[in-house]
Amino acid sequence: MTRRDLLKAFVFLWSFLLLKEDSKAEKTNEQLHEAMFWRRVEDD
Amino acid sequence: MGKVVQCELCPNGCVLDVNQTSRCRTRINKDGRLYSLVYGKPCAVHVDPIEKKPFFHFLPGTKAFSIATAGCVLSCKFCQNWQISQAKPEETDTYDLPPDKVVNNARIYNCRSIAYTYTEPTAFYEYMFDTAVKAKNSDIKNTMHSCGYINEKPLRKLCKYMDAADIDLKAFTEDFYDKICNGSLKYVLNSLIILKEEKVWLEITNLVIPTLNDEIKNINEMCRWIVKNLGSDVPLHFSRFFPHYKLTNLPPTPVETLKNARKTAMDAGLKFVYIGNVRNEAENTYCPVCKKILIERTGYQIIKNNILNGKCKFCNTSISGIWS
Repeated sequence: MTRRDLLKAFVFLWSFLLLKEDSKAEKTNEQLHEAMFWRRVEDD
Repeated sequence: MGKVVQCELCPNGCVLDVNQTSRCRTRINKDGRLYSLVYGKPCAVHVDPIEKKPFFHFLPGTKAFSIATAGCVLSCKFCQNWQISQAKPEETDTYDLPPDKVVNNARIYNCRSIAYTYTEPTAFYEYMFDTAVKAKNSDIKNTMHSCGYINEKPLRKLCKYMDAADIDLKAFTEDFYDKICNGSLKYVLNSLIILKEEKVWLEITNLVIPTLNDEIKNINEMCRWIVKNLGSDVPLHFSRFFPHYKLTNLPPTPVETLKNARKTAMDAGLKFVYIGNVRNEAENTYCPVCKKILIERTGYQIIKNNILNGKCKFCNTSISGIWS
């Protein structure tokens, strides 16, 4: 395996992990429902 | 304006930075707005006898469509459902069951009521509230089994749709709530008074735990408080403790302790006092006047019901409860 192959494999793995994280985030957002009874805390 | 938010649902009052979750594990600050992580995602769905909640004076012999999500506002060391109450939502297997589907399922399974139970329904307040509104419109009753650890405003809003509540009054000392539950008794007492004021049918459960809350002096104090503030008609369920979660070092409650607690409660003036989690004659409802058996039970099963139109069949005394 050449260094180029290693680099390709690394890029593939990295993008796969990023995509996985993205899809997870998207799925979570879909499930979110705004809560009742909360307030913004003013900055001091 | 920053993006820090404070949850105002329960006395914990969690202040959350972006992406932080609440102590109950079910609410998250996303970019300065608070969201529920469990809306429409129950991890427990069952059809139960209403007696299991326990409700003994509310539609006896009927079924309750029972739901719970992960999460709880307290962290009781004796929790009997700790696998889900102390779990994060993502750690549980969930169903996709939005409010409409809950109501439809309740109808399909011939349930007269929906029960928000098993874990702490305050942790899934929005889901419970929306479901309760839809259920009320469909002539299905709403019940909850709760620890009563909720702020006044959300509780009063919920009461408009809640028909019955069974509140765990876990002990009658601040010390117990602080050390064993990581909470505070005063908020629970306040919730009980609010439920009474809002005319929600109320029953109380007290889990009697050896050495921790089984002192007769405290039980007597608790019962006198109930009589004075909520009335003598509120059913009180003394429940037998079995070793669970972080209290596996303690033995099950001796039945004699439960019987003493019941006698103390009746001496304090409470009319309907039950012993749960153990087969005994104190599972039955007795007429407070003629002393005859009104509802005979074995476990969650009704053997005989002698209440007619809300009255004792034998002496015509009115019996508090929701009977039809």
